[in-house]
Amino acid sequence: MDAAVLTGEDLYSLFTNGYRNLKQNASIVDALNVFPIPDGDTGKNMSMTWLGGIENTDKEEKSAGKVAKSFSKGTLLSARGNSGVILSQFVRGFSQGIKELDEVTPPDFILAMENASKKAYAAVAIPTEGTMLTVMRECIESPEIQNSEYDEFNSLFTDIIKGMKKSLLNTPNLLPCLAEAGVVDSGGAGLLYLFEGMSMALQGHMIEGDEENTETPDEFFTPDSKRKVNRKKHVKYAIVAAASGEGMIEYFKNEGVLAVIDGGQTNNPSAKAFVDAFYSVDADHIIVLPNDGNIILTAKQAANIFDPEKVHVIETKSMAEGYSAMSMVDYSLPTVEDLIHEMTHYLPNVTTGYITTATRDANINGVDVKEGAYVGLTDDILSCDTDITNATVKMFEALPDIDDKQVVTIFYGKDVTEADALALGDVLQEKYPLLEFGYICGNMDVYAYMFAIE
Amino acid sequence: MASFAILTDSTSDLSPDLLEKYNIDYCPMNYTMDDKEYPALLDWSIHSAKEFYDFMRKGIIIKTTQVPVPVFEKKFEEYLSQGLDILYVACSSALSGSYATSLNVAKDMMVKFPGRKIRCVDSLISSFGEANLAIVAYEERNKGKDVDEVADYLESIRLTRNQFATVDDLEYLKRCGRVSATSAFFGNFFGIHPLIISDKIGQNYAIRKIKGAKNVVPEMVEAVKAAVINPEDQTLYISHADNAELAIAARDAIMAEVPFKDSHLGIIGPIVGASVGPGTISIYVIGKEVTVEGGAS
Repeated sequence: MDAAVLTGEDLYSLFTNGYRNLKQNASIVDALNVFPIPDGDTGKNMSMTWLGGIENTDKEEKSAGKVAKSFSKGTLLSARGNSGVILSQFVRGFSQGIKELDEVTPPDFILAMENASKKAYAAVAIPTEGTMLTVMRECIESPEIQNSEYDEFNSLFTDIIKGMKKSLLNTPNLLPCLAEAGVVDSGGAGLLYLFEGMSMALQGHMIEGDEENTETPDEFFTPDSKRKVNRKKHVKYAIVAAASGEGMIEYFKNEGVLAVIDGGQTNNPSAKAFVDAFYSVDADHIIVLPNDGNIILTAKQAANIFDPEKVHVIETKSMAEGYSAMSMVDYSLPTVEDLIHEMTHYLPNVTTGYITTATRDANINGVDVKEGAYVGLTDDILSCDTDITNATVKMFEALPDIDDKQVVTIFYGKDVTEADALALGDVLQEKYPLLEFGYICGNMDVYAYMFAIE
Repeated sequence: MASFAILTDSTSDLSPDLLEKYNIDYCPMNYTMDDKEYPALLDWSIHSAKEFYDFMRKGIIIKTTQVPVPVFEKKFEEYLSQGLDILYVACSSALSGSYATSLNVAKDMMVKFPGRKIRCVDSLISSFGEANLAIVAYEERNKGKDVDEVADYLESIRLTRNQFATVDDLEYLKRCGRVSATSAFFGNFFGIHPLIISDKIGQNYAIRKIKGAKNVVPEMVEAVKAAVINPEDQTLYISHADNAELAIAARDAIMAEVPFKDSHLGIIGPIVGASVGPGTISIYVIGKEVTVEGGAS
């Protein structure tokens, strides 16, 4: 199609090919969706909206004006989601711009695109830049297009797509939540797919088949997001924790602890290890979770060496207590005192329980301990049994304040499967119907189980 | 005869008897289940509330859409052609695109019905907070005010509607992105119950964490006490997503400590329900103006 003008039939095949291209890439567009709500359906919504336009259009119709009008009506009726509504208003503006013309020339098309973007802006109460609106406007505003005289559509579409890409790649600079997520705007990407499909139709390439692309092109990620540049980001609050065992170290990292000090096998890190960790973060306030009664002093000493004003040690005596403190973190709190208050508020109520294997025979605290049997302990040894479930149940029975507890998080160790942990939890749940149970793979070496009993 | 019609939408969660009592009509949004689309009716005539929330408990994903343009057109025309103006009390614009769409449809309608008026009010809240504004509109209309006076009044008081909600499972709110809080807020932790308010731009904002189910009701009582103004003149509204037990416990605890005139318990409708999930309860009181604005969602 070396088109100097577009007829109704031309428009129909352009719209159709735009749809096919968008549909093939809809899941990529879905995956980019973070604004205004990241519900991951922009691609689907846009393609369903556009399809409604095609279905309402007669493919034999010769008049471009009539095709645009019925296409517009169809998209308005099928519009879904914010992106679909905006797209349908864009189409409406386009159709009004085409008016009753039977054939459309490139200058007509440019005017219609300008009207389309105006209508799209009017569709939302407060237009946000960095969204598909920006892409709709900028793709036609570029000096290249405004200063050229096009006598056929191929070069016009090439320039529109060039403008769209440029505008799309700039969206993370305009909308902070895109930059934060490290992606370009999803609606803008959807629009680009539509126009690329249309441009292909102009070149005589009609898309067939319905294979789906799912791999997001690199250029749709911002450089930071793709490569995950290891840049120190300044934060208001940084949490530093000591932990032992790969699984627990990983867990604390995943939950937002910025530096985890590996206690090693003996769980006895040096003050220097803490100070190094403090240097590794860039924060107004550093909150430290030693997570072991024997490390609290080391952490405090390190805080004094580094900056006692800036470093705050919360005296967590176990990783379960550290977990409990982390669970209450809310970085939006205005002051570090507020944050520390939230993190420590429930700490006195946390009991840490462990299940491990006895290394020798003994009688401790009135409990007859047999080498190789399972031992349940908190600060004291509370139970021993050759059966791990019995040892656990007996330990719970020996807890004096179990009736005041509400939540039990079960961390299961390296030699325990998730199914084992769930089965153990079921036994406990039956015995204590009011308790709420949660499960975390802790991959601990020494302990089969660790319990945060709150 | 009334000078204008009062419309709201599916997120007002108004029961059929309240809709009738206060002479309020509504524009249904849609929900999609297993690729089938249904209008979100507040009489639960398609799926019962129990069925609906049990579907969600089984893991069936329910998506929602804003009020479709043709629905607005039909409802607006229905009343305009009777010579009535329209006041539409919309779901918070931070939660649904319905408000923005209604403005456009309203503009288009003016071509066909010159001289008539449609006022769309962004309630900046949902559920009984939104419903309460529609009911206030009814009361103000009875005083003889016209559509502009009532709409302006609603806009001046909307931020005094305080919401305190808590959900059983944060996954629902997370999945549809309809809550504002940092990702760290939603870590892999157990026994954490968020207290969710509707902030000053109408988004759901998890303002604090409550640990342990037993602490939920006492914390909600405290939140209500801190926010409410003149409880003796107002009804305490509580809506719930198939969790009457907790809703009643909260109502009884609040009524024991705060002298509300009376209380009303109702069901969270399908649209709000789809985004908050079964087990949610939500309390609405009139009180201090909401000034908090959560971070970007």
